Amino acid sequence: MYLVKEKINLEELLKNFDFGSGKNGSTIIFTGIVRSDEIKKGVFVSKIFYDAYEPMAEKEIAKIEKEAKEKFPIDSVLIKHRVGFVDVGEISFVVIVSSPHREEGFKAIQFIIDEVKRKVPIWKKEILSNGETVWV
Amino acid sequence: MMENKKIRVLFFGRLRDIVGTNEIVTSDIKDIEDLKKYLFEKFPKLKGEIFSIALNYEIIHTNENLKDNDEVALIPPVSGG
Repeated sequence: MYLVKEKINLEELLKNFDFGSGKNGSTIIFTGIVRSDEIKKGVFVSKIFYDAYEPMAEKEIAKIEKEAKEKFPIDSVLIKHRVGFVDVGEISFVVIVSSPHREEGFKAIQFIIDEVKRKVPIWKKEILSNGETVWV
Repeated sequence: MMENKKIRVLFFGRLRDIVGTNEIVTSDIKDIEDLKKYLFEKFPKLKGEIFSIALNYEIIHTNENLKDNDEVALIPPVSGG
């Protein structure tokens, strides 16, 4: 499952990640974190609600992972995306890629991040410090 | 067998607020074009909205016939990450 309802614990994810025991010289970790943007004067984002079309989102992320593995010489890939309410400072999105060499790892991780943001049916609603909400 | 054809229609993101519900179930809709016409009549505010259509979890770009138990989703521009 790529979508998770609970808070993402990076240490736990890394503990279970397959670093390749010697065959991979590179592991790259990307974390997307909810930012407290100032939307208008004195009004900040306090949390984000992530809505998802879950069965389709799972399928789309699986396709992106498969495509990345076909396109780039990489080894292990881990992708997680939060759904529901995520507070400022919390991780909303994680991608980890291990590969023999760093260059293909960087290319692959950029590809995965861009494709997830472009294709996967997930939507964010910002919850503002004044109580208003805005679909992004 | 048109009579009992059941179609589930799901709304996401800002479209949920616009139509005021997460999903509806409808019947006797021939194809996607028919469904759109039905939805625009039922929810006139949908007309100005940008969205793609997913049929059984795949985005479709052409009109398709609908069959019993199909799931259609209205997908506004995505914003994950």
